[in-house]
Amino acid sequence: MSALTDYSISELQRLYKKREIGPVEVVKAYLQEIDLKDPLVRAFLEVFHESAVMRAGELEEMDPEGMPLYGVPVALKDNISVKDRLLTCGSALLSQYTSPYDATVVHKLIEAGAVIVGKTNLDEFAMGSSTENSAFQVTRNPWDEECTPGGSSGGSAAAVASGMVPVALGSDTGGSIRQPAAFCGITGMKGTYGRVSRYGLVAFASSLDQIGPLTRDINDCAVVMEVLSGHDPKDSTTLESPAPGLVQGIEEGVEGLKVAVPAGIAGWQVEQPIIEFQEEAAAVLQREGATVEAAGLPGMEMSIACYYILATAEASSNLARYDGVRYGNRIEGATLREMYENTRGKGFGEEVKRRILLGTYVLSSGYYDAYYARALKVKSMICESYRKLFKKYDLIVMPTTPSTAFKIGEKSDDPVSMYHSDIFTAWVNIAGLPAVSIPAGISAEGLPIGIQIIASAGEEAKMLRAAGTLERSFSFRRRYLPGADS
Amino acid sequence: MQKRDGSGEIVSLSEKELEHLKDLARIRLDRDLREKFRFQLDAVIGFVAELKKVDISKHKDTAEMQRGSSRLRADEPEDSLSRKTVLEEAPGNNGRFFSVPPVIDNENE
Amino acid sequence: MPAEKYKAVIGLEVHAQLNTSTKIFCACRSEYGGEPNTRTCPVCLGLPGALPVLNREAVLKCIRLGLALDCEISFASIFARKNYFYPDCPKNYQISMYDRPLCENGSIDIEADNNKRRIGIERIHLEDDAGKLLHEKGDISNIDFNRSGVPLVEIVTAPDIGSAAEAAAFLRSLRQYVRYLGICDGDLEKGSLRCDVNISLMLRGARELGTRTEIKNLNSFKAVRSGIEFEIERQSSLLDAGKPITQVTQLWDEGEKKLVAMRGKEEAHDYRYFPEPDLPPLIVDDRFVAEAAADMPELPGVKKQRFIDEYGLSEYDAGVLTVEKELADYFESLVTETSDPESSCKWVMREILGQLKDTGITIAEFSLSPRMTGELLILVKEGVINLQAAGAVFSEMLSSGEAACDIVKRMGLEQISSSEELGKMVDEVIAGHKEEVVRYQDGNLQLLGFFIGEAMKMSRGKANPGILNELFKLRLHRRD
Repeated sequence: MSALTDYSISELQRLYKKREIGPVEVVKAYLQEIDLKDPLVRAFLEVFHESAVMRAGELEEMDPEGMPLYGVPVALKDNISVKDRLLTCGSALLSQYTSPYDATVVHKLIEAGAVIVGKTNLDEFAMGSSTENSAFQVTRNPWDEECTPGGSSGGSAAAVASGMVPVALGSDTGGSIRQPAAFCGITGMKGTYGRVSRYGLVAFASSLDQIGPLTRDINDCAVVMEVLSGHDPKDSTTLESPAPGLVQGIEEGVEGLKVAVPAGIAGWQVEQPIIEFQEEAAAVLQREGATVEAAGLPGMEMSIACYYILATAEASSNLARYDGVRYGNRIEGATLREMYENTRGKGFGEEVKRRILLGTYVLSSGYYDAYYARALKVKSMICESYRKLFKKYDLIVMPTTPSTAFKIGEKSDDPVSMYHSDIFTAWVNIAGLPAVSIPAGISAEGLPIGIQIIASAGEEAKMLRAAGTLERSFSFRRRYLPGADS
Repeated sequence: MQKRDGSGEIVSLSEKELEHLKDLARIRLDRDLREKFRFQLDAVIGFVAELKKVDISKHKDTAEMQRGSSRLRADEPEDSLSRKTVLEEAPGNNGRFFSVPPVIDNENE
Repeated sequence: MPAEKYKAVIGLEVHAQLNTSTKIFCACRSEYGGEPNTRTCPVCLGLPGALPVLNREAVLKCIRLGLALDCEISFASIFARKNYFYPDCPKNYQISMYDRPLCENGSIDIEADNNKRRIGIERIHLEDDAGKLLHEKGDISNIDFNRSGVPLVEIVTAPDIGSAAEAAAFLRSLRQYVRYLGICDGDLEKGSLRCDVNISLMLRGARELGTRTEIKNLNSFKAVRSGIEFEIERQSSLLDAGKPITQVTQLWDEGEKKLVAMRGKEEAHDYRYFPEPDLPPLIVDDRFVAEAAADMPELPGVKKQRFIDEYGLSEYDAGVLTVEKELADYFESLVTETSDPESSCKWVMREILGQLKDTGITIAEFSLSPRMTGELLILVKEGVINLQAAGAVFSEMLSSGEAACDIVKRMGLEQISSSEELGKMVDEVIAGHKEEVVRYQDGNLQLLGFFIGEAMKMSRGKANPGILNELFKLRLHRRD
């Protein structure tokens, strides 16, 4: 492993400013890593070899000052739009679709000096928990090639975990950043709903989707998150309050914070090593000056059903536009209806079709009240009960997933069991809360385990205080990636 | 037919219902997929029907309005995309218009 | 007459395109026309990842209409998605307001068949327009998305309308409102105002409503009237024959003058409405409403009454002059020029409206400004020209565009009022008609008209008849 690809963002900035290294050599080093490792991992759908080096060259002519991501290679999940680039969303229907505009986060990354190096694999339209639902390829977990990297941002997680990029963006609708981060032993964060603009993110479930970073550590995560955050006039659902400073909190410690851990966690069919790391996390926080209490987490058992109703309902409508009329691959038919049905029947994969049909069902006349309207009510109840809980506590700390990475093919024909693996993450999206998953340790099988920290809406900074404290204590990279942490 | 949501209601997905759903969603399902889907969707619907057990009667919905906004866009024009850019992606076009197969019958259901 | 046996219950759904500069959810230009598919962007084309952002001006204009029609303005209204597949609908859902519209419970007063009535407005809401689907001959339909995303307000009436005449009167009045408010050009043929009709019949005195049918594609006032009359007639005959009315949507065929049922399976629509997650609820507080109200022009009814009170116009004249805001404005500017409401009213009612009718143009397209017309009326008032000459000057102004006084000079139409000049003519007439002078002086005073006529001929019609009159009297008397 080349040393150039080991630096954290802040180290890179320090060396760039001293002109000890330059963006071109760093970008080239990462591209080399990609060329070397990606044939195995298969995290990338497209690598921008030429434009990345060209952009790095342009950056060398610029002053790094005021550009927090100067010369930092970034990969994007392929549901984030980059002007004049393919935007496939992992779907056969869009395999040749080129987008004519930049997502707001892409603008922000470029302004901050980042170098976009490619697009990563995902479950088709971000629907899945394993990245197996991509129309193009199956991504491997860098820790065990027989396992999935999780999903739906599995390509982004695997790319960061295998050192092919220091930063990748993903999107999180029910855990799609945090779960693959946990499965791949890296850090993944989603902000409060509305913290990051969704303009240019291909919608899966608009009321739940958030873009966020996948990084190697919490400091990199905070730097990127600060760049991405903020109100966007192009996205009416972005928060109007200014984004909080995140980096400084990491060193602040948890003295005086009140932390809730879930009561009766064993009842959720959580694997034993995960419970052990959860207990260790609680102990660390207590030792560092936080008050830790077990608390019942309201609405957890109904959150998955609620999530799948709301998410699929919105998806059924969001994905109606893929009809072969304005863009995408059309499959002809004698009539308009036949063209629609052929295009969508062949263009969408099975999981997407299942979810569209489920979403259509829960919205259709006769079922709307029993399913969709009821789920909206339950969402509102969940939001309300967490508002109450966060009057008492600053943070919730709990496992990101009930299990470590599962085997490729293990759950692909059992949607209900696949949906259940979102149990610890999906409710966070329903409640619109910020959450971050950090790597805690590895299981006996050598698979990473993630711990998740959840804060009240708008309190990302507090969340990163605990994340910093836990990261220092777990020392995941030093322990499990010898030589990776300089 | 099976009971599965505890309320005594039978919610099994009939072939006719699946047919209706795929019509509404404009998705062609091949015969083998149809059987598999009916089975799987049936299970998923049973799973999400769990929600019927939740007592929502006492809940007053206040959350919705809290995210309201009157921050709107000024009525100032910006450049549109060029027709060339737009039509380049269209599977059916004649250089000026998007083209589709004939709209016959009442497609608008 | 079947119309007396049955009572028609009619409701209208009218769509009006708002004349904002940009579309409702994006910054593309929204004006009519343009080369096909040159006014689109990721938002109005429904490209992956695009998001709608609501146009403030569209909201203000919708509120203004709501206030003008005495609606309640909702503090919080919610956009919903109406899901249906159609190739002119880029996202395959329309963003519209469903159970929480912006304006509710208003009304419009109309007059039809010498009967004044109040028609309830159930709701007015905002939504986006679809693109245009053009059916080509053969195996292809073409789509132009320039119109996609143009802001629409939908005005839904209560089923208070009882006849085709009332429906037309309502639509006329609504059009007058949107034009007064300056929010829509109200052009039915261009489609900036579109009217759908729901009709059912019930036996007079009966309680339960009959089955409702729908008519679409009524793109002129005539079509609205004929379509409704046709449908009332059709339903009456069916009922008389004891046959059931079936729910149907029909299109008006202007060429054939008949209703045609839309083809296709009569499957119930299932639009799967749900709240639009990309747009937060629209909050309209008192300040927002006050801002909309601040730009509220004087409304037609108020203006008409003011014309009666302030200018002393008849109810008929005031009504005609206020049908169009532009005409009323023209009249008022003319009064400012002439300070003479009576002659200004007469001139507009006779000459200008006549001219508009003959040439088929609107007052906005009329070439003479109020100032130019005013100058002409002042020339008459000051006696520079007589009314007869004024008509000729007006025609000349319309064709040449010259100012009235220039034409009067060029054509030499000024009245001759100088006593010296007229005195010479009077002397000449007296000298040439000795016999008549004697008869006049003998008491045949009617000959005065003859003398004036002779002098007028001599002046080629330009002599001031009043002064001639005085001069003749004076000189014929002196000789006595």
